[in-house]
Amino acid sequence: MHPFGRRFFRFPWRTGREVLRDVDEELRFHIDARARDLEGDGVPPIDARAQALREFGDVAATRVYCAGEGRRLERGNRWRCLAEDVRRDTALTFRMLAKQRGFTAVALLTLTLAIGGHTALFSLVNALLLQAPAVASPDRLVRVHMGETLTSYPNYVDVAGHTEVFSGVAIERREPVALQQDARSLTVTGATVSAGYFDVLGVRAARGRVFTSADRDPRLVVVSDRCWRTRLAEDPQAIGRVLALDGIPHQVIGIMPPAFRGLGPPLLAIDLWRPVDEASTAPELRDRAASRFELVARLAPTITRDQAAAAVAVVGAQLEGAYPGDNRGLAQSSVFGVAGFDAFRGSASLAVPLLAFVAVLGVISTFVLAVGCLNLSSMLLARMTARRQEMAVRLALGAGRSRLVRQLLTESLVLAAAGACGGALLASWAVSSLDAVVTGMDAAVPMQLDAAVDARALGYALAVSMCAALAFGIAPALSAPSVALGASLRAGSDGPLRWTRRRLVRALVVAQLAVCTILLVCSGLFFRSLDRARAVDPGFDPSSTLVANLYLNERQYDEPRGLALYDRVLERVRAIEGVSHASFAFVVPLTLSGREEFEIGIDRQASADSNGKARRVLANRISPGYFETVRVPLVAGRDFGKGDRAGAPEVAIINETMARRFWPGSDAIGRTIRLPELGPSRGASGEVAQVVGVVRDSKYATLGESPSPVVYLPLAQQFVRDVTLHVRVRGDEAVVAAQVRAELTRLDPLLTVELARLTDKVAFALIPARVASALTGGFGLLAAALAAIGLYGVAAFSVAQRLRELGIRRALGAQNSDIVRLVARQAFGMTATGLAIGLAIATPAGYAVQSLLVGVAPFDPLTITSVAVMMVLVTALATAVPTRRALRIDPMQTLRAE
Amino acid sequence: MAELSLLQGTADLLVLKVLSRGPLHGYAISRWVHERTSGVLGFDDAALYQALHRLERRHWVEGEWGTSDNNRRARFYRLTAAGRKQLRAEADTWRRYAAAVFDVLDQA
Repeated sequence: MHPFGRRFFRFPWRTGREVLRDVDEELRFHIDARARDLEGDGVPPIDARAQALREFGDVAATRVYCAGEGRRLERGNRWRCLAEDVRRDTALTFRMLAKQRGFTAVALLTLTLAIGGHTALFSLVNALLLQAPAVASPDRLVRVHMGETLTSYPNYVDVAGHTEVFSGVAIERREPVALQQDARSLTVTGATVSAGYFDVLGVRAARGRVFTSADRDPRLVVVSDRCWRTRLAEDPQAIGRVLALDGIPHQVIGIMPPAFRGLGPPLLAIDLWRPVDEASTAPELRDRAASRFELVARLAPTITRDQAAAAVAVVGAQLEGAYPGDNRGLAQSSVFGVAGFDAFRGSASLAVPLLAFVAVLGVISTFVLAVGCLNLSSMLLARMTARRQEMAVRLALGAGRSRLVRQLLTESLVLAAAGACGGALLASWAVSSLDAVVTGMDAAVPMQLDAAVDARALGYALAVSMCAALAFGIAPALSAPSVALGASLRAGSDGPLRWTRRRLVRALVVAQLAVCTILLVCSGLFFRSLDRARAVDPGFDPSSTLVANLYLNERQYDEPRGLALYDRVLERVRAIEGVSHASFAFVVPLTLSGREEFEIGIDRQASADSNGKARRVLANRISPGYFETVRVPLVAGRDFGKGDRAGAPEVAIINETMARRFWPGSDAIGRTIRLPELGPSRGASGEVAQVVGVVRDSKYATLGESPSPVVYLPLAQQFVRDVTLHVRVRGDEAVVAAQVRAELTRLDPLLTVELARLTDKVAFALIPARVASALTGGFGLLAAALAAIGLYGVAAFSVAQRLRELGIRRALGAQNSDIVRLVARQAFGMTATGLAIGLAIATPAGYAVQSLLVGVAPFDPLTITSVAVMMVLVTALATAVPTRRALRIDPMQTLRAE
Repeated sequence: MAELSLLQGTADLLVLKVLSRGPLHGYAISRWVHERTSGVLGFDDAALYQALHRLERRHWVEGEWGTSDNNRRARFYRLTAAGRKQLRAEADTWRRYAAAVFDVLDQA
């Protein structure tokens, strides 16, 4: 009797023990049957059984073997069953999504936008912070800080001698280089490096070769891929060409691969590398105190970073002992990594704002993603109500609840996967656009972004989409009914879970609206802030002014000679045709140059006031004529003059805020202040200076700052060797720039001077704010679009659900306005709630970012009103179509359907 | 047990062939082979059952519980479509192999 028929239901899976039991039963049948046959032949029962067993063979081994095979069979079947289920679920999902084109399109759009934005941000973070430089084993490279970030050449030579912890040591100095080409002079960013630099980094040229320590000729140069493409026009004969760098011919010997950007900070594009001229006797190479180079080293094979740090500290201490004057502080030497966050350890001023910016972006894009997920969740939940019939039927046919849940989750996963693909494409486009924008910016410092949606970013996109799928899919899936109720099968009735589901959907949409409100308020504040920033008067006039940074090395210029040089420079430059004013200043306001701040005493008193609070003021050191050059008006007293020099009585000029704060109501001229001990390298003081002039307030660090006290000191009395030349030009800037450069070279050929427009430098400082507000605004609009989609979805389904109810109301005489009110009330109610919650959160958030805002209060009525109006418009727009559909309901049709 | 491993390939082939005539339980297969080959083939019952389970795992035969002629619970096996294909392929190989061997032997 053969039992095989069509198998319809799956049996539950057998355990190992059950498998063994089955095998035993099967074998037992065989033995019994054989024994019976033998008995039939006349063999006595006991012998029959024994013979049967003997004939069989190794029962024990067979038993074990067959049980093993049986278990493997079960396992295999289990997997096939699962695969079959998944395949069926996915096929079903695709069919369903294809049928509901509207919903699918909206869902995909939502996910693409949300995941795309998030992935783009990740790529950015990856490029800026996480990526390691394109060198061999970047984790074995370290930066060496001998007491401070930079090292001098003689110290480098001494450190390089200690090979027990380092397999190679190299130096690098990045600086602007004048590249002369066909009578035109370009400024590019060049790196002067030790000959063995590329060896230490472990990189090779893509074309040609790099220079090594075997090269004796220092007139070689290796260019970057970007430089070859943009500056050398991808010349196939580039190798062997001679380029004039700062007037000196160098031969191009190699082109680096596109991925190599050197070890500079992110965004910085290095165009070329040239070797240090070791034979040079220039003071900047011979002066042990001239710390101009970054020191990079590769750890020897078995050395850890801690061991290297310890060794470096020892070397530092030795060097400090050997050269106490030049090498003060070297005992505090240490090492840092070169990749990722470590790259920022040396430059905290760059790291903090960048990190803050990235953090803010991260929060925003997570918000947007959250909005997208909430969107989808509410849409899916809303659809669940529509699908309860389908669910009930499937349950009645025997599908378990877990099956249903699994199928619903499959839907979410498929949507999320599709969203991930779309998002990746969107991110790719966004990132390459940003790349183009950054590269095309060609600001004072050429920048390069090099962000791409690479494998890591794609992996991230996928991970995010899976999490999103779980996030938005779990609520609808879990709300699947567990019991098929007869009532559910009847069209038009609602299951018992209707109430909870509805509430959940509405809560989600409200949350969505709240998030959207927060984003819009923040971006509104940023936009207004930027707007105000443009209108803010910096207090000085940066137009028509060229600036150039000068650095005087210690060996060549002590204080008297340095001051003499300053005088001569100003004399010569002022004589140039087209120059109306020229002067020096230490700090250039509103740019990324340094700042200075110290504590002073008032009227010979101590530097703290009666309450013990320190009197901190900002400071700048200037030459006479500075205020005229940058057009800061003098409101009382006089400017510095030739008489205010070393040996003469100490003088100072203060700004209005300082005058008001320390001498309110009385004349500040003639008062005295006590300056702190500013250190031997910064000029001796600790003396008393007399106030001789008061100037109008002007911005110092940022456009958004509140007025602070600033004190100006004469360079002649408070010497620094790192100053910026300001030249106000009347006429052709290029011509004047060339002449200024010529004069300076004539005075000292070693002074490398790079002239830029002051407006460019000031604008450069605004770029982060500009970018921030554009991005916030962009994300805000994105969130608004998503919220609108969400609202539309909910409103549409609500109307669809209430078709019967609305039809009956119509039949009972409801007017258009009544219908509209019914539909609108729900939507606007949700908007109002969302707005209220959003504002409640946005206001304290606004206070948190207050420092970034210029002239805008966190609780800005204009912004808040605009956002509220916008949300109302969005709601109206979103509910327009469903409302129209509700108005078109034919009451006769509804009544007939009953 | 060199003998067993040599038989493993052949055991599978024979079982597939036997089942191609219709579903049987393990004992029936054993009896059939015994009668057909007059005991020449030392077809170990142990090897037979191992072959059956192996074939079932590979989805070339399908096993299911049923009742024997004596109304006892026995496990019946039948050939699947994949098994049928496998039988054809293996029989083919065997024939070619045997022919080759014969060829060599007849060469003297």
